[in-house]
Amino acid sequence: MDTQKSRILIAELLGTFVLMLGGPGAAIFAFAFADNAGLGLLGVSLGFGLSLAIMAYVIGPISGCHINPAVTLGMLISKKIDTAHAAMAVVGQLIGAVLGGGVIAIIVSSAGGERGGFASNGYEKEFGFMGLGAAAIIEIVLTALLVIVVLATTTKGFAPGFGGLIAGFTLAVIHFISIPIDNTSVNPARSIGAAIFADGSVDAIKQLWAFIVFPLIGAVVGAAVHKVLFSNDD
Amino acid sequence: MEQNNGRILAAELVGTAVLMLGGPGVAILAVQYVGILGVALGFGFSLLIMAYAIGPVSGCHINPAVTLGLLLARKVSLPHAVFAWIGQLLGGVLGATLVYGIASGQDGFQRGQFAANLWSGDYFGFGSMVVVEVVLTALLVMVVLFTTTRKFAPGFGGVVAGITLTVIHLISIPVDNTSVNPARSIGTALFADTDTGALSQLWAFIVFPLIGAVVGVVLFLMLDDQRLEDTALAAVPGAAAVRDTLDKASDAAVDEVEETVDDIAD
Repeated sequence: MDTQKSRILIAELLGTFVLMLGGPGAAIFAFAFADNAGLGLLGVSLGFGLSLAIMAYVIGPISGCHINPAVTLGMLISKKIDTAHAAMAVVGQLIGAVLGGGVIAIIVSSAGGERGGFASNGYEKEFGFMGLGAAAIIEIVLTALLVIVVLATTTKGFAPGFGGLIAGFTLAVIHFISIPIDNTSVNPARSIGAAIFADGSVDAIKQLWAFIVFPLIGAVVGAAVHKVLFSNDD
Repeated sequence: MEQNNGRILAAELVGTAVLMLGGPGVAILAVQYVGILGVALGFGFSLLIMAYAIGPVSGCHINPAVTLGLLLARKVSLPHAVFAWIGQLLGGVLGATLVYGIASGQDGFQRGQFAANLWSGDYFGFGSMVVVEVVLTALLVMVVLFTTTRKFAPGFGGVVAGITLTVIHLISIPVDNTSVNPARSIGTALFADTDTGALSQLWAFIVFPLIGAVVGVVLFLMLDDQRLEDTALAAVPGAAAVRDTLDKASDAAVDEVEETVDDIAD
C-alpha cells in the first residue's frame, strides 16, 4: 500500500517535471537560441498540451496524471480521490515543478544565457500582460474548463483510451487562448516552478499569488459545473 | 510465433530510413517553411506511423537507445536487439543518403551541418547537451517501456511514442539539434561538412543517449510493477541495495506527508 502511495508522489513529480521541460523549457530554449526559432505560440502551446497527453498514458494508471494542483483540488472536491492521494500528488507536483525549473535554469546558465522572465506568469501591463482583471477572468474560466474536461474523462461514458489525448488537447487550446493575456497558468505548480527562477526583470514573485489563487478558484467552479452537468452519471 | 530476425532487420531498416526522411529530411529541405515545430512534428509523426506499420514485426524502435532499454528490461532478446541495431544503422545511413540525393539537386547546394547534432557554435555547449540527451532519452525509453505494459491503453502506444518524440524535439532542437537516437546522429554526421565539427562530436550523441536509455529503465522500474530482479540491471553490483534504500526513503516521505495531513485535519 505504501508503495502505491509513494508511487503517486514519484509519478506526479516526474509528470510535472516533464511538463516544465515541454512547456516553459521549450519556450525558454527557443527564445534563448534565436528569438523563438520558428517555434511560436503554437509550438509552446503544443509543448504544454502534448506533454500532458503523453504523461497521461504513462502515469495516468498510477496517479491520475494531474500534474497540476488545481486539477488535484477539482478531483478531491468531486470525491474522485481521497485526501492522502491529493496530498501525495501536490507534494510531488511542487517538487517536480521546482526540479524542472532548476534543470531548465542549469541548461540556460551552462549555455551562458540569461534566465530573463523564465516563461513566468504575470498580469502587470508594464511587462506586456493584460492586467489583473483579465488574468483573473481567464485563469478562473480556463482552469474550470480544464477541470471539467478531466472530470469528464473519468466518467463511464467517456471513449475508452482517449482521456489522455483530450486532456492534452484541452491544455493546448487553453494556451492558444491565453498565452498573450498572462502567459497562461491554470496550474499553480507550473507558475511556482517558473517564478522562482525568473530574474528581477518581470517581478514574477510579486504576481505569483494570482496564479495560485485564481486557478484554485477555477478548480472549484469547474467541479461545481461538472456536478450540475453530470450529477446522475456517477 | 517464431522470431524472424531477417524481418526484424528489414523492418528496422525501413523504419529508420523513414525517420531520416521525416526528421532530418524535413529539417534540411523545408525548415525555412515549417520551422522548429514542423521539424519536431516530422520526427514524431514518422515514429508514430512506423510504430503502427512495423511495430508488430520488430517493435519499431528505429533507435539503438530504445533497443538498449528494451534489452535491459528483458522485453527483447539479444538476437532481436542485434538485428534491430544492424537494421537501424543501415537505415540511418540509407535515409541520409536519400536526403542527400534529393537535396544535392538544388542549385548551389552546400552540405553544411546537414541537420547533424552539435553542441558548439550557436548551440548550448557541452554541459547543456549532456543534460538534455540523458534526460530526454530517459523519457523516451521510459514511455516506450510503458507502452509494452498490460495497463497501457490498447492501440495508443504508437501515438504516445510519436508525440513523445515530438515533445522531445520541441524542447531540445535549440540546445543541440536533438539526438536521443545514435542512428539518426550517425546518418547525418556522415554527410555533414567536416568543418562543422559534426563528425568529431558524434561520439557524444552515441554515448549520452545510451546512458539515457539506462536511466529510462531505472525510471520505469521506479513506477512499474516489474522488479529489478527481472531486468538485466540486477547484475549491476549494488543495484539492489540502492533500490532498497530508495524504497525506505520514499516510505519515510509518504509517512511524513500523511502525518502532516493528519495534523492539518486535526
